[in-house]
Amino acid sequence: MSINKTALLISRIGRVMSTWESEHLSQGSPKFDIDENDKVNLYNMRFCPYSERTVLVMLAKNIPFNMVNINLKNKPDWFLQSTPGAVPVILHKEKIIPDSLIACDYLDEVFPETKLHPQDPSQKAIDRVFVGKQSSMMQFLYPIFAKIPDKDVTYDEKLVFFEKLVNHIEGFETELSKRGTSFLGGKESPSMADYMIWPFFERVDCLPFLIDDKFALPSSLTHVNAWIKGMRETKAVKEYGMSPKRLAKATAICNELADYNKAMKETVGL
Amino acid sequence: YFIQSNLRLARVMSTWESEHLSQGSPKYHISDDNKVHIYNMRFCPYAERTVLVLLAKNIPFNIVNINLKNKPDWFVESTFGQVPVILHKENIIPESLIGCDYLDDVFGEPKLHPKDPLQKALDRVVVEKQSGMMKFLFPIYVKIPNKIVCYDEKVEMFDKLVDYLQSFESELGGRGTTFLGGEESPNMADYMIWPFFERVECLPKLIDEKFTLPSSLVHVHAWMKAMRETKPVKEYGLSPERLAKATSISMEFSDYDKAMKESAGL
Repeated sequence: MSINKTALLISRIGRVMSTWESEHLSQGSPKFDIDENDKVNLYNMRFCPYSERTVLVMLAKNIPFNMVNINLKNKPDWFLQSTPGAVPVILHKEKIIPDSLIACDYLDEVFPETKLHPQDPSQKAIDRVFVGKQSSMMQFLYPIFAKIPDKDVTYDEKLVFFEKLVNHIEGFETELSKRGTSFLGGKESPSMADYMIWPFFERVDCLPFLIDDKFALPSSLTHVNAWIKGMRETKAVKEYGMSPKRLAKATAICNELADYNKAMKETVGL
Repeated sequence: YFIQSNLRLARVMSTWESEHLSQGSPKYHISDDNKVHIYNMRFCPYAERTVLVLLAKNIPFNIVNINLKNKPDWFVESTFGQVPVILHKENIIPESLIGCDYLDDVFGEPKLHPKDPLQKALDRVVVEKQSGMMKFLFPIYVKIPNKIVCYDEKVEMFDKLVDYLQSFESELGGRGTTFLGGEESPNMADYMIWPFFERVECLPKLIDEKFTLPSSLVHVHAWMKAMRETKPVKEYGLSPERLAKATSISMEFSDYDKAMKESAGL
């Protein structure tokens, strides 16, 4: 790559990266100035796994985008009035598209570079079914890492959830082993299914740092552990993903203080 | 052509009124490799989505009805245990929305999804939103194990349902066409949403007149009337009388075959 192109690329990444560490906008914040033309705008929350799916897709496909972080604990009126009230929401060509899977499918259809869905419709369908199945790991994962209002999950209860989580992940181990490739998408690079599933494993990966070593994935899950390592090396996850240490510290701060900005600032660099 | 097409319809129709296979039934043998086979339950709204798409796209298919109250082992072992499931070539595809998208991808005209990716995404959002009506609809017409929903609770649920349907009224009003898919014919979104309204429509017959959609939902009423006139709904859809009777029998006896036979012709 020429020096000019490199400089341009670095400055673009720098500009985008500066927006994703930007302040989460709350009630009373002035309305964000959306690009109403061809650029993709994304309403995001830095620690939301569903929103992360959309960011990974945009990075994998080199789609230029504007990001606006939203304080989900104290949402701006203009956000509530123009969206169903959750993130991610894509705003493109004056239309809004909520729901991470619908938004990611839309981006894959509209932007030609690096198709993430398989070409073969039956493989695409099978991958989508698989993503649906893996996404249900959240029922075990969520009570372990999130603070649920009015409900204390005890340490022992977390252990029970973790056991169920590991059981559930056996399904992923089996699928990876069956496909015989580093990623669901093949040997070379991740496909849509890999990116849709990754954010959950980013949370799984931080549990030993958030709680203790009892919450480490067993080494017997050889394909899953290799997949996690492989995903960490991809451009999209390297740029936007959070290290286990960072996510653990940020999660602890969010759980205690319900303050995403604080969680972001005090964990930078981890 | 007329005779052939009616024969085909008759053959398919005979499969969709066929017995729901239970534990102990011999495994269903998939004979014709290029055909689409679907594991179905005659009264399941999600499975109905897939049948409507197959009919709208003139795709040859076989239906295998499954007794969801007493599932065959071979069904549970080869699927996630729910309907619909599409079997096509070597592919086994559960989940109604994914199955329907697959059919639209693989088979030609008519394409049911809009060509424009933005419109397709917006339509999918509408389908997700409207599918949410089930949380109010389900407690009204289904018998939930170990939970009695009393009449007053059903009335309350129905009020919430009507409120919820304002969003569909607005959507149709905003588009200004008979169907979500335009003036001419339904598209994927129309077919994905229809089965819920088939259940809504039977409520006055199932319970009483209090459970009638208000006439103020002008666009919704027009849409329902128009959907009833479409070929797939005419062929596979259930009349309010039939669905009400079948639902009562299902609720009382947990017997889909009895429900099917004793409501035939309504």
